[in-house]
Amino acid sequence: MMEDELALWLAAEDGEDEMVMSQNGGLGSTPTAFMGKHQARANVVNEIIGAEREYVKHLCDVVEGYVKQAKKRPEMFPMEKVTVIFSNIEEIYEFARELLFQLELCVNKEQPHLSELGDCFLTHARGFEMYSDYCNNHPAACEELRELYRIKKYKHFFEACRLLQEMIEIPLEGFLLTPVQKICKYHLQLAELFKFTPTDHPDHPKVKAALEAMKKIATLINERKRKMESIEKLAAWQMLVDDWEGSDILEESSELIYSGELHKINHAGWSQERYFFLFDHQLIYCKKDLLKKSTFGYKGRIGMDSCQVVNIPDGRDSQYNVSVRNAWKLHDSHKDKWYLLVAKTAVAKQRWLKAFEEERNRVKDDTENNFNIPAHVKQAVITNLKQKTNLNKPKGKTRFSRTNSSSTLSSKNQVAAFATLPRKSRHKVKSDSTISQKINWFFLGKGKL
Amino acid sequence: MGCCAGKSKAEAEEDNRRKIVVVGDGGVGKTCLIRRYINGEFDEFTPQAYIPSSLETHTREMTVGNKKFVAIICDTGGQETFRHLRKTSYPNSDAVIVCFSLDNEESLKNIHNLWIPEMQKLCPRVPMILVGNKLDLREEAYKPDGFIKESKGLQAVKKHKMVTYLETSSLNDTNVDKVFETAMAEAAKRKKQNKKSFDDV
Repeated sequence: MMEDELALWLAAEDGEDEMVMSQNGGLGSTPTAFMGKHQARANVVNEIIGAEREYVKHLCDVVEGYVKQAKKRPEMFPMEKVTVIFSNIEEIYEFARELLFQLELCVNKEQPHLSELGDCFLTHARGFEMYSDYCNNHPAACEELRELYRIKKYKHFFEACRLLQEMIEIPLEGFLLTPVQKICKYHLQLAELFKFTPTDHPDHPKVKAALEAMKKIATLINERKRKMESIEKLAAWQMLVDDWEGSDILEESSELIYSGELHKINHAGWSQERYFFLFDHQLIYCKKDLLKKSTFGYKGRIGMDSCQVVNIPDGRDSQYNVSVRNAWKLHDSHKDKWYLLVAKTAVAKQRWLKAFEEERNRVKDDTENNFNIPAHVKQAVITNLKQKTNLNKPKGKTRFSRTNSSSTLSSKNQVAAFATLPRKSRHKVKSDSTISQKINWFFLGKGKL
Repeated sequence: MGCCAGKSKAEAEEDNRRKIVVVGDGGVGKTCLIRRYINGEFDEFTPQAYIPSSLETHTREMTVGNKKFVAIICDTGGQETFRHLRKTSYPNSDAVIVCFSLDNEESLKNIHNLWIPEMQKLCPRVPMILVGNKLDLREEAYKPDGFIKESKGLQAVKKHKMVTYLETSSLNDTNVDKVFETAMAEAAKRKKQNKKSFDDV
């Protein structure tokens, strides 16, 4: 982040006590003067440590009070259930404990305002990425808990855990939200610390770097969560396309960028009405099913990585020997193949051209920022979705009820995915049971498109 | 574990829990509002944007009619810019407090363009209370021109079919209790989520 950008951002993030600030004519006046700048920084340092201590205590309560108790009851909580509910909270607990330990070492007991905390966050920066898995899993944990809370036995169990650990009266899902809330707070804490760190303070550059790093981490986690929701939608979308050919959509793509109807001119000069879906890395075209509304038949795909968009003027095109308006070409240099596409209006054409630019930018962005979802996670999404679709398919009159999903979860995971594919299974689906068990929350997620 | 002890008590307690989520732009005073209500204090002399508390979820016992309830108040401070993370705070909410700041035109604009649409989508049919924070600034202002008028808030409530509009000052403790009491009264009318969804199945 550039210096002035940072200043702007700090101003925008100038949080909850803004009223005090604006009342007193901004930063550094009355309230700060009131207690002295050293004292103000010392307060922030103490608050950061205090909040961290409270957070670790809280994680400890969850791990000791709930996770350990649940693990003692494998008949109620088989391993996969524990994983769905608690995700990697134990790992986060260990990490938070270590962070607190290091932070406490950084505190200058005699003169707390001289404490240098920045470096501690910087050295731990990569570790915070583990919150990503936790945040991505959180909706599944909630869904699982919702199912379990309907069963008296579980409801009492959780309540007993809470009472024994002497925790405040919040249901478990509330406690499980804490790491998500916490990862969003660090940048506020550090912004506050930065505000009270004068330029000549030895910690100044590191606090600034730490602030940027923690903001970046939260952005990364937020972005990965968005991606996760998006790939679920994509996987669900693919299930709606008949006669699918080639690799699964998720193998290359994770996001729908734009879609709409276009005319595709074939080499004989015939115009075909096709529905185009632009994802990152590929453009897929389908034929609309005339009988079944909102279903598509797969027709083909164009790889965007090796493609060039060529804008062409209205009029006669010599290559195709046809007259076109609002058209452009795509040239796949890899296959040396040309495509001629025609939009209905000039506005629609402009929108598409913009979408192609967006696609390239998105791909660049994702690679640079490490936003991509690992292949095995994507694979698990596909596998689980296929199983889910199959289970949800009405057979006779009985519909798959969500109520008993928890009890049948484990057996579902053992069903080979390809054996239950609703449509043709040209590409083999790996039924990696460990992965699907780990991420079996996709059963429970609502994969709406 | 003493699972069997106090079954009925635990059960009764569960039914009395209501979740209230507080949303709105960063810096409009969400955390101050909650803090004032929960702890009865306002940190005038600690000019901290960040208020230390690792638990963003608070509880307080409340009475509606003759019935006792536990309000679970969920703060979303810090999450404003992380759309996909802040959504995790929303499930199972029984009432929503949507906040803006009376000295910040942009924060009211975002009520219309961002917060209300988002809550309507992710917490459908959950009662919403609109709150204009930092009333003390408007009241003490030499010229109240730069501040948002009460009528604007009332318009928004009418437009989006919200429960009510309240103007508060966490600094002077104006209307703070009323915000949460109103939210709780609405939340209390709702049956527990679990049972409701069970009926739906």
